[in-house]
Amino acid sequence: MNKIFIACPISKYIDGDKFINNDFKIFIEELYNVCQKHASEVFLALRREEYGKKLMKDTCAELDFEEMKTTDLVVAIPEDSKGTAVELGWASCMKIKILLLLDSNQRYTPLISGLKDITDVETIWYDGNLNRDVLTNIDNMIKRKSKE
Amino acid sequence: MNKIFIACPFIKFINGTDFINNDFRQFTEELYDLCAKYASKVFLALKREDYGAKPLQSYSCSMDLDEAKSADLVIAIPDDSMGVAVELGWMSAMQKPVILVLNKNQTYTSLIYNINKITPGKVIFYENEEKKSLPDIIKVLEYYKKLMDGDEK
Repeated sequence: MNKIFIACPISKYIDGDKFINNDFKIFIEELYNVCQKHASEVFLALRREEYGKKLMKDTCAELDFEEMKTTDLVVAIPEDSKGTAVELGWASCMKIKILLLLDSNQRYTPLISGLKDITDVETIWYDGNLNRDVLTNIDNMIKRKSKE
Repeated sequence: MNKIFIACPFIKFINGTDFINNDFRQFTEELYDLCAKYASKVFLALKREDYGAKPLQSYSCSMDLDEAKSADLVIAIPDDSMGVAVELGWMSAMQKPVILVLNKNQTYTSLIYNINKITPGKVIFYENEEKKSLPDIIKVLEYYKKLMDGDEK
């Protein structure tokens, strides 16, 4: 696989120039490493913007859209992020494969939970905690998707 | 202009089969009627489902995407809706004009606020009540009608 795009909330976890959810940061960094095992390129806007130190609010729309165009697989943690939802709109419209991480305690719009009607979507459900088990599932799922 | 797609919050205003925000209902009905003057078809999911009274027997995302594909432009009231954000992703990926109707007092994610950096369109701001945006929406529809249909109006 050439490129994986990680789509996840940004602004809700940023206060000024600080990233305020360390558990989420650790998970995302580990997810980034897992993705790197399977793709020569991994895009994560949080990394580009140094977890809030170099926010690119005025240019991120064009930059993220360009990144999406060359993506083979999107790994998305939508939570309640409208930015991630826009990215899922791009990905599904471009028929890019999506690996969707959904919290079983959260209610999602059918336009997110039903994206499988539009493009190739695999869903991994987690119970509130993004932990090592979730990472293992993602690892296995990407491995499977790479072979398809 | 052939078709206008109206994207707006849905689930947050539905309780059972009731639509619980009458002001918003009135606004979307006025907006629908307005759009019908400028395009031969108007898509509004709320209208398709009679504002919650007639939920679809079976729903597929692809139904909405198909409506989006055949639209010439979208008028979007994103509010805090995840569904509208997905639809804005579709529309911008297809390079359709997006008319964003934004509340001056609300904060929006950059990917919504700056959607017109990747697809054509206009931004209309309103204060407090959505219906205050209608005069500006008329101006923008006039512009796109001329652009798309030439002088044949």
